[in-house]
Amino acid sequence: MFGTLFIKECKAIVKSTTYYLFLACLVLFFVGQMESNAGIAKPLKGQASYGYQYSKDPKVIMQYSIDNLLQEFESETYITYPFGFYKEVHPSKSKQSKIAVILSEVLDENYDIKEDISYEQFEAKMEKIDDILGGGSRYKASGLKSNAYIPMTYEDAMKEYEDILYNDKISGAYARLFCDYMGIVLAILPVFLAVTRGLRDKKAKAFDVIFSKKASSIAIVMSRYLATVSMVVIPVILLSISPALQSLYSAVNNGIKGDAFAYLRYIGGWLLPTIMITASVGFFLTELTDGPIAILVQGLWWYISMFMGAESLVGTVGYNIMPRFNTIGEHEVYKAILPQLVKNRLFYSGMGILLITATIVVYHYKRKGALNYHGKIFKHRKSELEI
Amino acid sequence: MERYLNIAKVNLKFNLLPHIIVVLFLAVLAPVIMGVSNLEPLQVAKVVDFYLSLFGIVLCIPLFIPDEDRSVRELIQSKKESMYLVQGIRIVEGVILLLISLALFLLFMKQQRSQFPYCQYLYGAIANGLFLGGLGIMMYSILDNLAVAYMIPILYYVMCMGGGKKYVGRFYLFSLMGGDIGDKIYLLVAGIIMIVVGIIIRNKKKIKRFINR
Repeated sequence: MFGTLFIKECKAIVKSTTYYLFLACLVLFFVGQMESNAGIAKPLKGQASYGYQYSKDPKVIMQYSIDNLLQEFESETYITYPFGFYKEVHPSKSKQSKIAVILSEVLDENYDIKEDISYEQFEAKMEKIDDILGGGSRYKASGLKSNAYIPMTYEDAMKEYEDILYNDKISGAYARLFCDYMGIVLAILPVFLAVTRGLRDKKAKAFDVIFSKKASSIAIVMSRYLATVSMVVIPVILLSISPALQSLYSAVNNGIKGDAFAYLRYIGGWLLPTIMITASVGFFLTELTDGPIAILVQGLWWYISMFMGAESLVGTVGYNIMPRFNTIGEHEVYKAILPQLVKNRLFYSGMGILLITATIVVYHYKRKGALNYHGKIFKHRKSELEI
Repeated sequence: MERYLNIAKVNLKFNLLPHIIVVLFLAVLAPVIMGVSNLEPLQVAKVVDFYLSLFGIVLCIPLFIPDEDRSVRELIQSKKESMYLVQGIRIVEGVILLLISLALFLLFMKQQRSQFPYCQYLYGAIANGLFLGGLGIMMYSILDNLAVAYMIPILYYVMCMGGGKKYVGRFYLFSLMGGDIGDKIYLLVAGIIMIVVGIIIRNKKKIKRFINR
């Protein structure tokens, strides 16, 4: 029963206009955003520049942060990005003097950072300043490291090169960039497919016919959901073939064996949870309200998440629906955020499963006549229900 | 006149209400997620282009939702008032609400001591809103698919954000941020045309279907 329904749903998706629009967007975004994989080249001594990186030296981070803070303190204007949007904060006199007190605790009379201050203490002080400013400033403990963006030395560049080669086998580094870009569109596009599916029954007035069928509510809803998720995942995998082959080729050129399944693993672990949650938001809200509200809800969520993530494009995870990793390499940053990333992805997979389960429940109750299907939930409250 | 008012009232209560709530929510959310006070003109322009444009999508696109159901549509057609009139009243209502919400939001920003030419920016916001709304309405009437009606303007917005100026030329949504108000006229006119065309296609298609039956 389930298999037949699943195949039917897949066929229906392939025939819908929304799906072709979805494919067009996916391909356009892929082509527009993914630069061609230029391959990895070994750094040569005496190059004019080796690129830039975020410093890992606490002293450098502290110095850059303080330089910035002093400048903003003097102009009494602090730039913050509480939700990724630019916000200028002009603190009151009392807040300004609180910041002055913290500054005096960190700096000596020559405006140099006191010798006896540890990085942890410094972080705590900066966090206080971030609180005073209302959050989202450059002094948030977790974001301090992004203040110190410094040129790489030859040794740094060599280390980065070896990391990409031996830890990521090149493929991994590129797969992360692929997930970073595709994650942006996959946090919104599946909702359109889900809403289209949800509204189709309403438009065709197919409720009564489908409700009376033998298939269980679980089979009906799950076949729709899994068909949608599969039909989203398949083109993503197809799109990944070309960059995956390029990475393998680049690996051979650098004398190592690439990882042929890196893209598949990253798609499964990184992108699939995004697709699952986005589609299930669409299915759940459409089943519940019989309206397009899911698009507005997911749209808003996506919008805010995107701007929140835009603050720092490498290694921003937290509970953002689209973790960002807009770079090739930086394996150390990746290692550092991996636990967060795993937690994040498990959370959204779980939420996806939870919401689709809730969809099944709503569908089941509707089928039994509990929830009227014209959008007014307790219309039949007087009728006797046997559920 | 009373009947017209009734059409408007029913539309407000049963169709637009959730969308008005979404816009209210967006408006209340704005000061939390971005700066609205003490802004300079170009910073206000960013709020107008990036944020207020979305109001148009929310308030204009629901135009055909009430008669999405064929039997409801046929019932409305059987009434004395033509479909054009009913849909005309609905869109005028949506546009008035859009105007009010934008005007009040910008007034609020003015009150928060942000510096900007009020009328010009209001005009820019309306142009963007009508363009995105009109795009959705036209797509809705051509494809008869509500999800796509939202999808296309949202994607248009995203495309502009992704640096699509070279593809869309004068129909670039975020021109105010670049200090240019001149191109908004194209968006405004295109928006109005798309709304009108959308309504005409919607009703022509219905006639065709009626004949083919």
